[in-house]
Amino acid sequence: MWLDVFARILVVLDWSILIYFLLVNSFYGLLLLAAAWELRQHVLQVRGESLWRVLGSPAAPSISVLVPAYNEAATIGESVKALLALHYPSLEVVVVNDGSKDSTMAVLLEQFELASIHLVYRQQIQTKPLRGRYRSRSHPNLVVVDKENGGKADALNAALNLASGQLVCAIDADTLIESDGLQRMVRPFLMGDEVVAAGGTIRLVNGCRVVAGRVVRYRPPRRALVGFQVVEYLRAFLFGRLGWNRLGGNLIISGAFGLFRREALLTVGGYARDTVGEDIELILRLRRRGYEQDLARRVEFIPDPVAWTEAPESLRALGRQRDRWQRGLADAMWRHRQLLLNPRYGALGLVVYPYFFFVELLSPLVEALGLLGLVMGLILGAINLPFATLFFLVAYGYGLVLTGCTLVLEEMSYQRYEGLRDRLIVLFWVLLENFGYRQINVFWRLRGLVKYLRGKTDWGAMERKGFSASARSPHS
Amino acid sequence: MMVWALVGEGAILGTALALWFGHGVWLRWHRARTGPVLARARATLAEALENGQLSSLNLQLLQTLPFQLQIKLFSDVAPSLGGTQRRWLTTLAEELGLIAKAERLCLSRFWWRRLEGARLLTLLGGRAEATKPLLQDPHLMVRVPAIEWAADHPTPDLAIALLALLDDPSGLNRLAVQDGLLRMGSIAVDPLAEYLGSHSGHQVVPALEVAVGLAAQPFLGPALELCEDESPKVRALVATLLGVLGGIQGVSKLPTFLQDPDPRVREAAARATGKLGFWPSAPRLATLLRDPVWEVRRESGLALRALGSPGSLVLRRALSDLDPFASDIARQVLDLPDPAGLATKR
Repeated sequence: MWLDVFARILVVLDWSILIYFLLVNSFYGLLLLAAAWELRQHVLQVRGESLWRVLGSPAAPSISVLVPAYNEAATIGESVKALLALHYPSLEVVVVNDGSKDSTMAVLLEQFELASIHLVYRQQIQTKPLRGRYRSRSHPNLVVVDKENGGKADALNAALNLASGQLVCAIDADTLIESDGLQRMVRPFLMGDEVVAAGGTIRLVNGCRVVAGRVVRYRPPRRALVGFQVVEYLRAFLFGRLGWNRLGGNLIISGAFGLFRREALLTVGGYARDTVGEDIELILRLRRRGYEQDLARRVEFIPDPVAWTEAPESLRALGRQRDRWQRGLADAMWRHRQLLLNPRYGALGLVVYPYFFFVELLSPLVEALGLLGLVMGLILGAINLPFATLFFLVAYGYGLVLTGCTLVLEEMSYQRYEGLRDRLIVLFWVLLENFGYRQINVFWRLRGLVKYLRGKTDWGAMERKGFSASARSPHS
Repeated sequence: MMVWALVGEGAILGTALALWFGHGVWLRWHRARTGPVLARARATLAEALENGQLSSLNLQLLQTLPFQLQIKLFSDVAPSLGGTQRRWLTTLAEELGLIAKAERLCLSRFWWRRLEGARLLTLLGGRAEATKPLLQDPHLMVRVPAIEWAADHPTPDLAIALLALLDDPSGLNRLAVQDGLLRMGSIAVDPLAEYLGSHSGHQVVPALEVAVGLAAQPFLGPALELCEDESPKVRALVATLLGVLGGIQGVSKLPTFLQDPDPRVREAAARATGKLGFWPSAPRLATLLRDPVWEVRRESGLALRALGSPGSLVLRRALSDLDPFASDIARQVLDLPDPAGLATKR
């Protein structure tokens, strides 16, 4: 009898989860349509545009690029040179050496002829003490700050205090920005005063050919782990975030590359130091403040591929990253739980926050339960094969269809894949993604949730290879 | 239900992948076919630019290129040219019928076609009759290339037309107008001075920003009239403008701004005073070291430093000021260590 009851519970559970996936994937379908429309409008607007003209004008707002660096000796020289070569008329680069234990500071001192300076500035946000401030003799728009270790958020806040630009661009030290990336990213801020932050498409640099800090040849990765991540990033950026543009609800600006109004960041107190999800937490805070004080609150996403970053290449590093992202998301959701279904916050409270809570945050739990329930149901005979197949079709097949459509969006716009071979490689990763990779992601995200509930707050270590190592021989 | 789901998903996925691969194949074929043609056309055009003339055979080669390739060819070359070569290129574009095509696009009811036409006319050098009306186009994106075109063909009439767009609801268009006026340079000075003299309040803010960039003496009269404007943003920009223009009349107004009730105006006036090196203002700047707003204290301190010896003297005296914020800013500006090791904040 108990077995019967249990079997019925399993059936109800699996049907509920099936409906959950149907609803979620249908919403993704809506996002996809919104993304397609948004992309079309964007391509029509930028096609044939001469970026150097208006967007390269001295009248355009000044930008300070904030670069937190911790143990980045392998890549910092190349990264900073590439930043200084960006095409933008009023550009300042502020690098913060966050108490690195390696030779990051020595590399900077040597490669950029740094001279100690005295800046009169107000420390609007408290940070760990600064040990020195420098300006480059060879590149006067480069400022370097040496400080005690305080974490990424602390380093960004230190840079924010010192920055002089009207807009600030927060990046990771190993992010490679396309030479016209800032010109593209500044556009939403010019279209209207209601934009407070903007993000762009991040692509993975692993396997690409990088020369002097620029990606000169894009190749889809040959390694499975990176290949799956490429597919994920395509989906996340090209249909996820672009779709939210049209639905008015971007909540994530990648920590690897985001552009903000400096005054707005200072007003909300900069980045939170006691969370590993400082990027999403900041956006929530900015948007909340916008609603509460009737200020700028729009967060835009630019579909142009504007920046490149290195993806983890080992299971361990990737697991830590996904674990941390889930913990960051959980923390941000908890801190701003007042938004949930709160009409005071408009679309943010009624659509965006609930989506991120019930889908992004809880979907690994739902999926794990669903899979477990399915397997047990099949074993107990409570669920038949047709239902199991239907479950897979809704949960995974639908996702595969969405990914396929995302490839079409990519083709409509940026056409990064050259040749049949590159496309076949990408297709291979698309087809395989749901067999193992997706499930292990569920595990990592669940682990992150559990760790969050247990109060774990550290970052973990990321293994950096540097771009020279990731560049492939032109003959391969 | 399962079968329908399977069929539906399969169909959509199959279509998407077919489109993706199919387009890839077509793109590869297209690039292979047009690459050599475009290279030959580029070489022909480069040779013609050097010689200043094009043989009928080479003209035929360019005429046989598809429209999109012709546009690509001209887009690659035009931004690098100026003067006689640019005018020659415009004549060539006319001969090839590109300008006429672009003008026809500008009459389309679809904004993206008008945008394409406007960009082409800006690139190729369109006629005023076709381009000037686009300054009033209902779609904000179409107005931008028209503004760029106007900046490339500076006349007082076009400067006046651009000034009328300074209150455009689109920030991008306002930036384009400001950029355009700056590029126009001396031609925009008189129309801008007249505009400043006949407008006030928030309307003049973008115009004042341009005036600061152009820094021409005809702006002095209107700037002095705007000294009493109600808007603090206007007064702050006037202070900045007076700082770049200099002269007795302008400088004599700055001390008044140093006492303005709005901190943005005081900050701008302090910065302007430092820039001008007007040392008699040192006592006034000294009082601003006690200002409740940090930015004003900072600019006053920096201005005093910029004044040289008189300013440094004032700063050194401020080190022992009873007001801790005055002494702190003086210490910061003079680059002296913080005796308490604590940051002073207000």
